[in-house]
Amino acid sequence: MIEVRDLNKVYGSGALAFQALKSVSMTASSGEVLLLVGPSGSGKTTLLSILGCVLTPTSGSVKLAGHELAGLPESRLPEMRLRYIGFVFQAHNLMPSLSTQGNVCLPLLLRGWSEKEARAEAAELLANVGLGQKLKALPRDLSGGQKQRVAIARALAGRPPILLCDEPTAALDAQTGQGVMETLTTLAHQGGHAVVVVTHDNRIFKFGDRMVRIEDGQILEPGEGDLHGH
Amino acid sequence: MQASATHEAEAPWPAEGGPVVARPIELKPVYSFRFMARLGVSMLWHDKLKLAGTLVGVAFAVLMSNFQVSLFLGLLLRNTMYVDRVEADMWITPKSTQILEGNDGTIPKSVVPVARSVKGVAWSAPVLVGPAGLKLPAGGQKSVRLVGTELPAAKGGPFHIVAGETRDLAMPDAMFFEDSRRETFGGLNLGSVREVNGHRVHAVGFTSGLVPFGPVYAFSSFDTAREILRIPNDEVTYVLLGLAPGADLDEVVRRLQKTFPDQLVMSRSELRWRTINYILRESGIGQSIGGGVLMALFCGFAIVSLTMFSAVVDHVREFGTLKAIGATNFDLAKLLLAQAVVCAIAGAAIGEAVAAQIVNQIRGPELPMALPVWLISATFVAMILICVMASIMALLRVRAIEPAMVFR
Repeated sequence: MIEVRDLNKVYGSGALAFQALKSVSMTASSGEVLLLVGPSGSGKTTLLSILGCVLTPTSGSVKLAGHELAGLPESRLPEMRLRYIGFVFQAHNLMPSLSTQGNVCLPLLLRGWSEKEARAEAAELLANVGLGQKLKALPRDLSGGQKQRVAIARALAGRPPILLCDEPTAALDAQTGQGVMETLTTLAHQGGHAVVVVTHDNRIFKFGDRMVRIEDGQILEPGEGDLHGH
Repeated sequence: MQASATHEAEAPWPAEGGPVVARPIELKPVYSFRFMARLGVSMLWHDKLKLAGTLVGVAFAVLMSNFQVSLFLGLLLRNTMYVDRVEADMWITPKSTQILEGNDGTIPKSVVPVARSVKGVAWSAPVLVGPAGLKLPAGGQKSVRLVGTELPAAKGGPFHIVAGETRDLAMPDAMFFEDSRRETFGGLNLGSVREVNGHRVHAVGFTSGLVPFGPVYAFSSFDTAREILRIPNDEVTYVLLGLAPGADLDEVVRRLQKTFPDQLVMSRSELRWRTINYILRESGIGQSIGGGVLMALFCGFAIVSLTMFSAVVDHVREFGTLKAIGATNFDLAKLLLAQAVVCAIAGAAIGEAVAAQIVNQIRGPELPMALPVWLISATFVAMILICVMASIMALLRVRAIEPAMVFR
């Protein structure tokens, strides 16, 4: 589902140039939860941004669902995001002026769904993350865990094959964080999504099918980052 | 998450696992615009303080510009009021006439019957107009613009009568004065006697609101005016003409002009615009009020521009999120456009309501103000254009937002 080959990303130029990713190669398949771990500044957010089509690489190849991103004009990236990717952010990033249902409708309406169809789908998605009674609630009326579940429902709207999650449990207590990871794991294992989770939180390592450790912009060799060692 | 066990049974993803097929993207511009507009309005409504600031800015700009323009229109109206009220479709004036002050000489009285015989002319009537001095009881003098009109038709006035009747002018030395100048003219009442150009007259009626820039209008019979203004019997100041039913106005004006090459023949509309042009040119009022209007509109532009820009800065993460989940710059432009139009319409409605109240409260003969429907409509259009232009700065900021910022 995701195939990265020899990926490089350099910020700035000349003496101020900083290479955030160095010849990164990796894959993520449908139906698996891939954990992307590493210390702050290691390049994992840069990698996630490139996978999410919100940042363009300096060189290398990135294929999402068989589509090569390299050389794709920037104007095509929004469509790629809309078509293939669902995001779950650390701070949920819900629109505070919209209800939970309105937030989940967003990707569907951007896809051109009618309001009626989008509302019905959003209600179903919210019901399936346990928020069927909170359709009209504003984000400010929800707990952190509930907001993250709305964010997951939004990421699922339109059924994108790839879910990219940036520290999805960082702002949550242990129990709520576990619940969120259980949901993401179910999405991968039962729904067939490729789920990539960037995390520092070693309490959730057990939910990963595979872990990629990144340091100084490079993927450590297999064995250097041992999933089951944590 | 406690609910996870129950979610499995009702999961919105294929229960059998396997690859997920993304749903098709079907772009429908109408849905897209409606949705982005609603999102924009909900964002506006969510930040009520900023919305209030924007609306106050737009309303203030509308109020200021409308106040100035309505004052300006009122002042113009004061000067075209006589032309507007006289029933004449066409005028014959001395060649050099720019404005009806009676200072541009006279025309032969013989023009009156000749004009009436021109094809397409239904009637003709002479008027005498000229400046006259009214002696005040306590000493001193005030100027009036005396109009002598042929009775009983009284085509040349008086109009806007608030006391007396036109037929009273048939009495010897009878005169109508401007009601708002009664105190200025020494406590003038019906029956009061004054000297005008050394000629004793008595007030038999009052008009209201015929207050041009210069001296106010006073009305008398044709003969009384002739005596007071000392205009020879064979001369008149202007000739009023009526258009025969079915006749073509422009053609009759051309015909009359050909018949009277030494005079100026104009339709009512031409005379009206000639008067307005003269006032704008000579008084500089157009530049001063126009400058005020531009300043007011610029203030509105600046306020809306800054508030919309700061709203984008405040909501930069939301815009970044929208971009990250697939919204294009064009989608966000629709959102900002909708916000701009809503702010323009709501702000203009508030501004117009306040302006209408103020104009109604303070307008009078001394401060004539007009708030016509076309001005209100034009203001709405202008504010929409200004707010849309003001949203460009916000749009530039939105364009610069990197969707990658959502991960920071």
